[in-house]
Amino acid sequence: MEVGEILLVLAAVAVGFFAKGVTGLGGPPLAIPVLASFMGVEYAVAVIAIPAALANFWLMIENRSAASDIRWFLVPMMATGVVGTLLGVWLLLNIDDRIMSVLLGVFMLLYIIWYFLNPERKIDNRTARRLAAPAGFGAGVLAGATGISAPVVGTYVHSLRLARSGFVFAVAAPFFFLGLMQIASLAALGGYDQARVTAGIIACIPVVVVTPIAMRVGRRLSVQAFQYAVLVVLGIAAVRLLWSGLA
Amino acid sequence: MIEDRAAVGPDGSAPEPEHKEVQRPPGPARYRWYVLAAVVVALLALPLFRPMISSYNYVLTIGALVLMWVAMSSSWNILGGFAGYISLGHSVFMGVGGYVAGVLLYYHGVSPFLTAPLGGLVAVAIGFLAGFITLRTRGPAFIISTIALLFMFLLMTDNFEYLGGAAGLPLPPLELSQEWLRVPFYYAMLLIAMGAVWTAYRVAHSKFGMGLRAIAEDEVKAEVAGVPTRLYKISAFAMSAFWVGVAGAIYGYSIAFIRPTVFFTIAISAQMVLMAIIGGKGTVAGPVVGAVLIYAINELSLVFFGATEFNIVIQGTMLVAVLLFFPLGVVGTLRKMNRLPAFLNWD
Repeated sequence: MEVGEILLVLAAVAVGFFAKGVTGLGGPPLAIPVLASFMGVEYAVAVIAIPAALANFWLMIENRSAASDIRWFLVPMMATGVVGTLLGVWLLLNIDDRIMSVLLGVFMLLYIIWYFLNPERKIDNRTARRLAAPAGFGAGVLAGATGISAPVVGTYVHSLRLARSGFVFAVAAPFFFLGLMQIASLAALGGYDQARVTAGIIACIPVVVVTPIAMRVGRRLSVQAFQYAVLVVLGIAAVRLLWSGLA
Repeated sequence: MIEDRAAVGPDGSAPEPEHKEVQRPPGPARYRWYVLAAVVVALLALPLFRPMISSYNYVLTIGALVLMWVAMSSSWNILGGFAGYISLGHSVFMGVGGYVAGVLLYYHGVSPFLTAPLGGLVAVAIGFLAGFITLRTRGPAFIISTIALLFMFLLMTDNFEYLGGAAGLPLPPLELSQEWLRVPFYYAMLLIAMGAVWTAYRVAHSKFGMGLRAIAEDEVKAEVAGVPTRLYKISAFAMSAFWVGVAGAIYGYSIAFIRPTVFFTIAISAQMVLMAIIGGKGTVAGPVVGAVLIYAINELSLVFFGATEFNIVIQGTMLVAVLLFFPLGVVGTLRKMNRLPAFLNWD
């Protein structure tokens, strides 16, 4: 890679993880395509998984005060996420992931439309409790099949209308957990060598720089502005899924 | 904990001082010292039970490493926990201690058991200087400046031939039979850990510690209230470097070589931060609990699952679980719930 290309990749990582620092979402969906265009998808997924784990852990630490209020849905969600990941890996090997991408993209766009039609409406606690395990399962399936779980996790948690710190912790915890499973699987399958680990550590530098600034920006956002910021990231992810599925 | 509250009489004047007999602390607080004494005696006696321990050297090595992390995490907590300044460059001081003692051994044959305190003092001097520069910043800028410090030292040692460059320097091993080789290192680390925890305890119960906590709460208000914030922060930075430097000196000797990548890595600093946060940042006992817990998780995971990639998931799961159920760290959360055992209540 040329110096200019490296700078472009680092800038993409910085922008992606700035969005993540503000909303809890973003990061890999923005950084992976840019890096993949130079080095290939497998390389990009393996490298970006390292700064993603760092960013998610950092966000969890920063927002840990909200953990006790949300663990009632987070624990079943993460438990079923493991089972879902196994099914997701099987699906990855057996069905066309473009079908999943399109289905998911449509589902997310429907959610965003539903939000704008009923901005005040949130899922009641009883329903949310019932949906926690299926949402975790769905996130796991998606993570196993496509490597991303943000569409399901982000959509489910957004529908609960949590305060910012609760939302960020609620998305960062499953991302961190599923991300570690991804890193472990890749490492077991020989997906990491010294060069990739080094590249992953270098990719952590922009994350370390932008995450604290982004968290500060996020804390200053109003509740409404925060909800919209999350919807923007979800919208971008939905369009990207539809694009990759239909292209 | 005894709270110092300003009592005011009904007419607004200060009440007459009462001459009461000084009372001993109630039961649990006294037990605390008995339990701590028992723990220290057990740790001191551990190497004497050689016939009863099958993997003697392994146990002592693990014990020494846990004690090293206890010392480093407790020291980091003085700046990161009490003052609220997150440093990701503290492994620099470990490296400084390691290199000072290592160079004196390699070129002059002086044992690191003698020169380790000197390593700590040099770390303090560098901590003072680094704090003088980096503590002009705060928040994200401070974190980044400490990372820059780390990379600066990595580059310097990598390119300094006298220090062995990137290959480092091999150190002559301690001249002891294999069966007793780990004992001196274990006792040295035990002393260092006790010193570090004692320092943290003294800081926590001093005017200086109160000033640091005020800085962590609100630096501007602390300044207005008369806390010399800059002096306190720099002193905290320097003080937090000492035991890390001493631990680095002994650690370098125990592995028989010093090399930039052994010391100057962000992973070591991150581990100190992690241990303090998981145990309870800003508490005296927190880093101790965090160090023991994280090291135990790592080690148990290795024992049960071997050195496989599965370890990453196990350790991650444990971290998520701790954050979910102990969001203020183990000690902080238990205290908030009024369930902290008296022997862990050192604040």
